[in-house]
Amino acid sequence: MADIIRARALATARGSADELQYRPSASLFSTALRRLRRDRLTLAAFGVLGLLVLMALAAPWISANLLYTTYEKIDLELRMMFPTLAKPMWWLGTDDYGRSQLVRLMYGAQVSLGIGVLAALINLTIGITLGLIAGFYRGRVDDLINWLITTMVSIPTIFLLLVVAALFRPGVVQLAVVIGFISWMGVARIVRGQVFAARERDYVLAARTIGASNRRIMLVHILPNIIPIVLIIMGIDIGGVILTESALSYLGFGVQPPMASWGNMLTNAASFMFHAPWLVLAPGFFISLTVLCLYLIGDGLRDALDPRLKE
Amino acid sequence: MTKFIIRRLMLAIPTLIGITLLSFALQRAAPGDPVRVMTFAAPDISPEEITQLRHQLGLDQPLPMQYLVWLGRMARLDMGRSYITHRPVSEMIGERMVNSLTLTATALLIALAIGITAGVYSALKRGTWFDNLVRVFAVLGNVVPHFWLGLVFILVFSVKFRLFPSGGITTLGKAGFDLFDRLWHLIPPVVILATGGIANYSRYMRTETLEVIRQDYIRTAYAKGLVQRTVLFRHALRNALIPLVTVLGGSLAGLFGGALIIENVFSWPGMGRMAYDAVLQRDYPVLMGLLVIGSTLIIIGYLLADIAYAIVDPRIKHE
Repeated sequence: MADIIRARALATARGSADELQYRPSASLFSTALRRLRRDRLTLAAFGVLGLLVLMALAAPWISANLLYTTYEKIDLELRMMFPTLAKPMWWLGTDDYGRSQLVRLMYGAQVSLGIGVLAALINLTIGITLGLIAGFYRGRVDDLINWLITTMVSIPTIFLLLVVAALFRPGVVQLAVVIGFISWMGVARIVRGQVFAARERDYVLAARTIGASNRRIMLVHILPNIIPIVLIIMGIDIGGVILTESALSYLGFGVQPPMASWGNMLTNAASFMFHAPWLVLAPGFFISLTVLCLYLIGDGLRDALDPRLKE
Repeated sequence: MTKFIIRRLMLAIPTLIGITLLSFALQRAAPGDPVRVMTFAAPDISPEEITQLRHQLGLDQPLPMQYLVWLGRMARLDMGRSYITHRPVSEMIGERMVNSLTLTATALLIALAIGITAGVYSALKRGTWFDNLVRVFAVLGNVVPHFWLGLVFILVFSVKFRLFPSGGITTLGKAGFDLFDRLWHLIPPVVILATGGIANYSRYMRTETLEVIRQDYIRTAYAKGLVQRTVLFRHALRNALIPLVTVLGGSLAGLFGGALIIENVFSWPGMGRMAYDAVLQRDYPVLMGLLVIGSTLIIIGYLLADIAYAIVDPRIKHE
């Protein structure tokens, strides 16, 4: 009885209906998962993104076994062919070299998603590490890291990328690494703020009382507590990287042909706009769709993991 | 206040040092010996002459010394000469900067005007179709690549309907200054550049307005018998605008980077277009000059935003 009264009091305090039933111990993640399962928009975003990933992974198989072509097979007789249902490989038309746009879009998904994930992993690692150190040690260390952040933020990312691309002509993997190395500042700032707050909590004091080292407190006690926020920013982070890569590739300094990326497919498309508008529309649509899914997932995770942050 | 501004100015110095250090490092890392580039047209030059040239250029000095010398030249806006046109880099950048600033400043003003209005209005009309429209627009503005939006704009308004020019700053071959023609060319890039700003500002203003109109002082203002108009403009809007000022500093950097791509989409002869050409031609002095100048403009932007913040929000302490 006392339990039920307590649960009801709790529920009124939190103002949320699903807490009415007293649940003894629900972890943060199981509660989040429960909320997520009811969030149709986020689930749809997960679904679409899953399809896109599948499309990227299966690109070689699909193009070889279903479309009977490759991403670099040139056919100058069939240049800029209007999308037609005659053959599956022409469903989205052909580009200025007569290559199947559908196949190139699938391979482009590999590049865009691959660079997105790799660069995001790098910038998350750097951002979390520096944010954690700055927020934990404060003082001089924080000043130094903050200086690094302010400096990097003052340089327009795309500009710096352009210079680096001009100097070193990076391949796909290097490109992802470079993008990762110059896009960590947002993550670092957010993590730093979180750590600032977390290190004042009682559990940190408790850990310190029983003699835990700084490193242990950071890795075992503080880090797990900032994982939710990392999950939330991850979607938008990957999306941001994909947008950056597409812009750089569009300018011609990112992924180089004949390899296809959604960005570099638009480079030539712009000059054939009059004859082949579909070449402009499709790649941009896929970039937008992917980034939209990632954005919605980030949004959904935020609502699921920390409903207080909503609006 | 003066003290705060001076302190803030001092804080910009380490950032500036960081940027110049990075630019210098990149310049040093650039493949291609500058002496080689300079003597490219004279292949029969003797090794002695090359040594002498290196000495004249200070390339035989230790790196920190070279950095200081380079920094001194930068401070005097002496950024060397372009490898391609052989004109002073600062002069070339100066010409282009006007075009870039015209574009970004116009886009910023329009984005602020529309973004703030839409954000406040959608907060006040929460849950209506207008609110939903603003929110959808805010999401789309963040996920659609702006350069692609530019391409679609050209596709629809220049290729299909022939309403706007597809690029450039004036109609080719047109003599003299024609304001109408200029504006006509300015509209497409400004519309695209402003889109991102509108999406961000409207979202911020919506969240902030929703937050502010819940506050006690708003209720007090209504209780005093003030009309809604007065409450909104004198009490709510003023407070809701404060956080936007800080966002503004950051959005300047974004606007700058965004302009780089948009200038290329619409062949707008600004600094971004210049950077693109410099990369293609491996014109390093121009590239480094642009990097330093562009970053400095952004630092100034952050600086102004911080000062503006201190002015609008008397609650922050100036210590």
